[in-house]
Amino acid sequence: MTMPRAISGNELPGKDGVLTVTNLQKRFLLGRAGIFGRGSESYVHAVDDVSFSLGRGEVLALVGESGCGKSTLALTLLGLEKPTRGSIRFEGNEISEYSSAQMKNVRRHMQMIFQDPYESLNPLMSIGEIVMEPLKVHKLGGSRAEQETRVVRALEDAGLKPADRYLKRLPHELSGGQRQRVVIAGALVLEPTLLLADEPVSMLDVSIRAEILNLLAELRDTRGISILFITHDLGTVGALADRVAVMYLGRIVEIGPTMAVLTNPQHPYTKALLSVVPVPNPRLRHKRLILSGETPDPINLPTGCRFHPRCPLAVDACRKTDPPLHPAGAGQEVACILVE
Amino acid sequence: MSDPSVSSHTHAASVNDRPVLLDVRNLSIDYVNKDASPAQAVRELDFTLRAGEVLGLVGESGCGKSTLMLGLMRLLPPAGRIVDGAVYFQGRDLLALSEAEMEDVRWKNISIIFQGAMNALNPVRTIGDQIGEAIRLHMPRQDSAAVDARIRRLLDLVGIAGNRKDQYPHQYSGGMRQRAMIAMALACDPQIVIADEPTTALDVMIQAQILELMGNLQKELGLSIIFVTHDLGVVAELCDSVLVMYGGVTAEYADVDTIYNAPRHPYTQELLRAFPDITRPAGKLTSIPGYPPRLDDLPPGCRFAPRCPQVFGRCRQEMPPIYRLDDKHVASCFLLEGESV
Repeated sequence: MTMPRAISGNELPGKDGVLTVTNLQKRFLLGRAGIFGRGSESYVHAVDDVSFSLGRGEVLALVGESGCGKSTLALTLLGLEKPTRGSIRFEGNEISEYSSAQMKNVRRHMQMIFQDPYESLNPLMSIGEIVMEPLKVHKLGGSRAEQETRVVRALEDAGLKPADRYLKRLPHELSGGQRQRVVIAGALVLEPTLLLADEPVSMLDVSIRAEILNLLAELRDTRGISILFITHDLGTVGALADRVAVMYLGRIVEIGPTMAVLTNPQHPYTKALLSVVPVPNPRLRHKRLILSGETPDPINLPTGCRFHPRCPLAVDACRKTDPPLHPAGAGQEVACILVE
Repeated sequence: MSDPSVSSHTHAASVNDRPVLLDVRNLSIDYVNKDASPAQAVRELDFTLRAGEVLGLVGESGCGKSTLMLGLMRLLPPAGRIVDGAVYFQGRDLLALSEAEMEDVRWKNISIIFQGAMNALNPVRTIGDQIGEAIRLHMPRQDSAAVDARIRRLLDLVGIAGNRKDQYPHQYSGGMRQRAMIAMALACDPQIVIADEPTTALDVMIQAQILELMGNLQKELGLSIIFVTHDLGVVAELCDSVLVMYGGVTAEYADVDTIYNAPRHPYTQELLRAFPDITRPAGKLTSIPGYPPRLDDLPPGCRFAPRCPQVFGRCRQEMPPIYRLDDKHVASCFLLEGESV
């Protein structure tokens, strides 16, 4: 199977779409009620009716707390979890029904960067071998010499220049920031069009986070790579993302241009999340909208709006109406009946 | 979003009139290594903590901040050695105490919440049992009813219903386990609580709940708190004063407003520029090139010199002393030599 690059304009929003997700649902069967299992089935509703698209060379930040479904969404896009329902179109192909062999092919073009650069590198392999490995797995790159050229280019594109200073070294000889660059090089060597970056800087020291965020922005600008940037930290999205989607309990509750969401948030959950981001200036200490309790479990979902039990503004109707996304604010879409 | 009028800055000023509880002088700590020269983890650290003061101890991983805290609690791992200095708690030199006396200080005067401690609870004992153990060991002559009442009061203080004392750690969420750890640290009414990265592994909303709790406890109980963290946002929200460490030494030490609005050490300045500020979402982030030094392979001269944008010849040969810029502001950088008072 080859991945056709041509994309017909009317199938995807925007003529340069890379990924379009429509009404995606992923639930996990937990079991049946009743002692003989004859009762109703119960499910973990990890991702529920999520739709968004990602343009070529665009960075979309997917923001939410643990358990909101953001990582399950990434695993489902990669085909590591089978979607329960919904459509995933990637580079013009519907991939939601693909077999695992077909998905392996897709993953050449859609690469994941994991959170922890200390755990995701084999400590016994040299940097050169680590970055070469994906080419071997996918039987790509032609001759040994050609593969080596691609490894060098991937390392240098990831900012490890000159590459031959790193090829023979082992992961423990590198700093955290350099290791995360190796992880990124391992993804780049396959020349993907889409990177799924799951908390790529949260394990790194503050002084080197910016360099990794700047590297990802540079890859978008120079290679036109699209990035789904998964994070719990709204503080880091301004530096990288073009658009932001905020998730709560499996749903997108607000999505829109980064500056609009950060400076003029509409959904009460987005407002609360923004208010608790610590501000590095004691003169700007402010009242935080601290939500009490924790995110409810995704098994017994609240009726109506899923956020209503914790929402400071909830009214009676919120218990009954499950609000769809609708346009609001400055180019956002918001799922809240109180937002016009 | 922000309403600066909500908070006052008078607290930091009033703290300076309170008595000094903890006085750390010239503390130096090594990690010995039989095959190599010792790693100089902490060098000549000086700071004081007053009653009711919240001090932020800031630095990147490996800068020696956790070692400093373990050192003053005398809880260093076997390779750790205090090679110089003194730690006075209300005038008593903690380094001269017997181990038994020190054990008492650790619960009744200074307690510590370790990094990742919420995962260090014993999984086969109830939360109440684990809190009760600290009370029984260090506050004897209390009958079981009194201990029980105290456990309930401590849980109530941290926002956990008393009847959950008989539950096990796995029945608690991450945020609740962290609350339980705070309750345990408060078991014997310490005056000082050291919190080592208490919110690092938590979600932002849970982190906000824990920080609010610690702020409330500080006010209600008049606690002094040392917050050890790499998160400059958390420090700005909570602390009265800030000690910035780099490579085992003090880079800068001042009140919180000075650190954020008039920092003088290049490292403090660069660190602030690298930290994302949600109030300026379009602001450019700059990283500090290079990475922190290994403590067993320190550069000659200033430890920040290899990464410093304002470095000059002398920085690479000599270690800068600590210059006092005013009453409560010190920084270790040759650029400030002429301003020393």
